[in-house]
Amino acid sequence: MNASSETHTPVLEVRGLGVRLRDIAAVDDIDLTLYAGEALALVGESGCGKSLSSLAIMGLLPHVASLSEGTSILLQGQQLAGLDEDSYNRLRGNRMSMIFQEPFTSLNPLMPVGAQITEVLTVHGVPEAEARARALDMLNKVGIPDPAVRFNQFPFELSGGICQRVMIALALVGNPTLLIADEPTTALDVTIQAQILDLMRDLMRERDTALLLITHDMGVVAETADRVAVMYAGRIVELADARTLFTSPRHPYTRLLLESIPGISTPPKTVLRTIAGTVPDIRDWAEGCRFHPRCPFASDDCRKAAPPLEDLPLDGRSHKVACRHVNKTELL
Amino acid sequence: MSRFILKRLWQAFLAALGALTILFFVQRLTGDPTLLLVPEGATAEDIATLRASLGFDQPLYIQYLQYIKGLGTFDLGMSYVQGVPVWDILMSRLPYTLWLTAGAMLLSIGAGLPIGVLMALKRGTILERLLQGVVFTGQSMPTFFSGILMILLFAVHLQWLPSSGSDSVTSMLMPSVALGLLTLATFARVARTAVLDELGKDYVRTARAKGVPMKRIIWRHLARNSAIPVITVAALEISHLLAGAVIVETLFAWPGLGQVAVQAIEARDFPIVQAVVLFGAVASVACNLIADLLYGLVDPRIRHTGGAQ
Ligand SMILES: Nc1ncnc2c1ncn2[C@@H]1O[C@H](COP(=O)(O)OP(=O)(O)O)[C@@H](O)[C@H]1O
Ligand SMILES: [Mg+2]
Repeated sequence: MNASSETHTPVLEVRGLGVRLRDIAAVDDIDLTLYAGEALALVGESGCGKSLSSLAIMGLLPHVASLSEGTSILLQGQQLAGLDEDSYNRLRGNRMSMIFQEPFTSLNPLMPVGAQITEVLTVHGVPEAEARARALDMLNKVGIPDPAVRFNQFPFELSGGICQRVMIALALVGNPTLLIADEPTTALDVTIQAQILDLMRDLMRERDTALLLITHDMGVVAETADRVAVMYAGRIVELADARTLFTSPRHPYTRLLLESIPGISTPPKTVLRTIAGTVPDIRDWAEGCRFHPRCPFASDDCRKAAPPLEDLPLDGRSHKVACRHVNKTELL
Repeated sequence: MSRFILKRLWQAFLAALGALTILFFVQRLTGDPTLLLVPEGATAEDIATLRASLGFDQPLYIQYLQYIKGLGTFDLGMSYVQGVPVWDILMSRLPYTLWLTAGAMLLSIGAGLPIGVLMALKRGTILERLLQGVVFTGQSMPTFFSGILMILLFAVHLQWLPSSGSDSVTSMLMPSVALGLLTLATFARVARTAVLDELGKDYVRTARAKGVPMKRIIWRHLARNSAIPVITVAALEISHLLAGAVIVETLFAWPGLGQVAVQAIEARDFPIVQAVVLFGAVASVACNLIADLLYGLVDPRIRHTGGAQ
């Protein structure tokens, strides 16, 4: 993270974001701040509420879900919570955009990919000819061979990797200040994953775009993120810059996630190895600290009340964690 | 693509031939129509002469072969009753049926599709309930019933529209509505399902993430993607409309093919019945072929693999 960027207005400032699925809180009071040119990873196992959080920011929540009261989402200072559809449409594709997990189904099967990229610009008032030229240029920038040929092809004629490049072109052609990528490489072959991540990283740096990268894969985080927010069962449990998080993780859940990637050296991990299980269904989320049923350090306090997300800076760097037993974790 | 069409044509040819063959023999099972055709007080000799001139004295398979041979040269035969070529009768009545069917189709697509799309978009609102009511009504009323209701209301009671005849555009109104109501309901249901299906798909979410307004999403993205089931149903429904025309034309004294067919069946005028059935078969084959071509136009994946699944 670039220290001087702290002084500027954040690109995205989320305060107290909550998402309710009918009457259950699927995302519970999360805060996120994102600066220009920075990549923040939101990481956690499947079912943690990562996608709902990102859709909430984009104003794309499904019908069954709604924003909780008191949610504040500032995009360059503009409040998005409660924004009407027309105003949102002026921002989406223009100042904020999103890439999804499934590149193939995320594209309209019956429209040539070039037209799908061009449309991002034309709906925001760019003249057709200019929009086409910029779309073609963008296809070139995302490293698609023969862009002029691809421009007129349909998704079914392209591979998954090429489709995801098209999605990246589509997301970046409007020069957004914020890009949200929800599991952008999960559906791709391992060999393609690194290429796509590199491409995204390069384009973000070049344009000073802020990236909110959503993933369950710590390997992807290690390759891409400047800062990392770890999410468990609708809450953020740890937030630190990537290096700190990888070298001195504090939350037991973070350590569990880190153990899942080979080649990252963490201190002895015999205890956590044995923590089994997955994220439960939202109706079964525990009282108190939601991780306690899977946590080896869980005490009565943990069962009663959720620990707050506290900043315990390390070497002058912010490192937030929500755990009563931080000291024990460090002893592992 | 062309191989696919040839295969389809061959299948259609076999189906039409099968239908005509069955019809040919079943009709003749109902007995010899000569007795219906001779004037009262005819002698046995008169009857025998007429029978011979109509060919009924020949063995059945000879009659059949002669009929098929006639078809091969586009000869549909002569009407037993009217003594004029069946082709002429068919051509003089066909326009009426085409007008009626076209009117019904226009109405059912023009109203049915928007109703279905609205129902999908306004899911869970009072508007949806209201439209659902319209669709249910259309769906549950047999054509003869809605036809009679309309005659009672608009012709007898309000006297706004003529109850029968074919002399003005207004006289076409009630028959078209009666004929199209069921199809309208079908289109509404299919459109609703198709749009709901598509609305939940990822590409719609992408379009929204691009900032595309809902209206444009519907016209530019959804319409084409939900067209395939609508085209399929449209092709099927034309056959249904032609079948329904038999009832509606009788009810409203509309001088189309349906009316001709009913009269011909009553009079055992076999060549006319056969010709109408043949026309129905050809029309349904044509509709299916057009539908197949449209699939290819709508969906590039079908164009590439050379045929609908
Ligand atoms: N449209 C939906 N309807 C019902 N439940 C949903 C819906 N979307 C998400 N959920 C539930 O909300 C929780 C969080 O989902 P999600 O945000 O997709 O998690 P993640 O992206 O971290 O895997 C899960 O338990 C999921 O089952
Ligand atoms: Mg997800």
